[in-house]
Amino acid sequence: MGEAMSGMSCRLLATAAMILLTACGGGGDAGSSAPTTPTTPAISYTPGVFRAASTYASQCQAPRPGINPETGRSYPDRQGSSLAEKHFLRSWTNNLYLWYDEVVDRDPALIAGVLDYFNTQKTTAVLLNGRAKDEYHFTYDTAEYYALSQSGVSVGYGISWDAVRNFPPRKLVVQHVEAGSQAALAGVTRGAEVLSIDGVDLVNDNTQSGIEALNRALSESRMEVSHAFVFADRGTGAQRTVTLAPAAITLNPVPVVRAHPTASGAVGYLLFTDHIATSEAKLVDAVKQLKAANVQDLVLDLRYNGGGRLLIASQLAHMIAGSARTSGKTFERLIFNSKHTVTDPVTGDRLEPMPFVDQTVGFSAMPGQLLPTLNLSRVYVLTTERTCSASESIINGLRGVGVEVIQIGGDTCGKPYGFYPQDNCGTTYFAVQFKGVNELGFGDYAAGFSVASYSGQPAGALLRGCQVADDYSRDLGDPGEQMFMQALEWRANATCSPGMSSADAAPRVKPFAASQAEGTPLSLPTEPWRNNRIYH
Amino acid sequence: MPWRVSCICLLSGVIAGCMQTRGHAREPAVLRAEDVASHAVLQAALQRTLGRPVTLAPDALVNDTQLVIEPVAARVDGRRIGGREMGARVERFTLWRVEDGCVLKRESTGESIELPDVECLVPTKS
Repeated sequence: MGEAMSGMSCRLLATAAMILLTACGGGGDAGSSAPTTPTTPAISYTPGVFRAASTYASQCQAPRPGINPETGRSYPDRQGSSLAEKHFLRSWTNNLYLWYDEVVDRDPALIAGVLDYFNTQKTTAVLLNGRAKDEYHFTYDTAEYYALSQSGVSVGYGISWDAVRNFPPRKLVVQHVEAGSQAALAGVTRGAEVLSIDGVDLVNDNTQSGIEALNRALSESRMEVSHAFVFADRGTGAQRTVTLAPAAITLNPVPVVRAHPTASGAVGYLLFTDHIATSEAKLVDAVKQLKAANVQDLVLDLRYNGGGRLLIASQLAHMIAGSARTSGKTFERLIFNSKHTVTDPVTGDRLEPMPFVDQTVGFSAMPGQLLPTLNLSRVYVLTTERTCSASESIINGLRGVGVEVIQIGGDTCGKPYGFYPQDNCGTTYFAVQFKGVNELGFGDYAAGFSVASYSGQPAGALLRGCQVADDYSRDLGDPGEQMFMQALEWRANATCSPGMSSADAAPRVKPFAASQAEGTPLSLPTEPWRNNRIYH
Repeated sequence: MPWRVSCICLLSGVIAGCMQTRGHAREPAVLRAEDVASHAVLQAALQRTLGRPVTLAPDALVNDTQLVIEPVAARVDGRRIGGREMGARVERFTLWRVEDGCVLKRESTGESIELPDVECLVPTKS
């Protein structure tokens, strides 16, 4: 480390400087901000005929001025029209959307808004369980999408919530409190319930003004504005009034790691909440700690992990299974639509499977270090419907190489899909472009991994284990917490405790939205401290 | 033309940083807790280097000599829109004390960024 700025680095810098010089010499044209004369050809619609999306790219009804911070060059935007933007979306979708052949071809001129048109560019198919086949069709403001932060840092209270009941009498429970946050320092813990905010009764108030006040407070992002929360403490119900103001909170993505002693050896417990860059180093440290404790099994708590970097998922899967099981095997292979079977249509790279990554890649650990391994043939995974995407890849990737995954908890979200976000004219579009499959070629878990069977369920999505609800009466990592306890129970007896259902039990129950007839719902984002938006 | 000028300035900065650190004692460093002025200098330097606003925690580089910057995860209803990110960039920076000054090193490029009027502390080894 001490030599990090040695002469070699200086030579590298000199090389970089040469590259910079070259870029300077050759970059004049690309960097020029001289206005471009509109050259938009007449745009016409012919059913079933799709010109290349590049034909319509960056022809904007409102071109952006200035420099794109992502590229350091002027925005490519030029004067165009909403019609051109819609034609871009039509062609882009037809080329890259995973289910492009299920999209109804619509004349862009007949749908007024660009975003309205985008919303038509998706499949309307429904899964066997009643869910829409595509629940992942989004847009985002491009400037907001490219915002940067210190890894894991966002502005909020440091509390994640669960709206157990979103209608009067409401029940809003603290799921997790980030260590070191104002809330943690004030003694707010997992399982506490919110009774009121700024004097508004959160449980019963059903007036529009009351709901708006509650939503404003829960989604507050102004750091100078504080709100008075009244909590009922877990267990005792004692009331605690806490004044909270949003702050820049640092998320610890691996907050609990411990070895739990049992008669048959130590069982590791690892709480992993987000595949952000800082998790790479923390997961390495966690696995080293568990390895040193000679754990015989691992309980991997992914109940709140919505995914993130796929490489980190691959690294963790390798650390669990070890080299003997994963060497030369596929962690995840991306499947694009039938037009793109050889090369990645966005990067142009040849489509190669992602292996189980066996070393650090430099997200937060020094690159090139071999990863520690636990060499397990079985893992217990704690899940809820928030266990999503890259977290599901861990489950699927491990199953693909013969590691038994015992699932304890609720169904996972069911997101074997991914996309390359696409900017056009200041809006970033997200449309499903690929599906991930494991070593065995399985990736049909769009309805989630589940321990309960249902008609039409792919065999690969059915796991052994127990259906268990999240237990707010205990801290995460407490062996008395229901999900952790059931994992230990299954390990000891290969059964679920009485009252818990297993794969052989009744049909699965999916959570559905409560009835609107019950009253006005409070629109609570699951993680308002990481999300400045509120929906009514 | 302004693009070329800024390139040359950047190049000069890179070379100057390189020359200044050669031959001097340098050690990984942290910032003092609650040093608001240093935090502001750090924030401005990062924004200048990366070309856009960066959200930092108040304790950035206070407990760790390394700072990791990445895109804010796009979310709807608090949930990740993506969740299977393939190539989102990460920038790692390391803080060094060089003589009496502070230098932030951008690991992806090797670029050294001077932090004027910032007090760096060498963490004690436990």
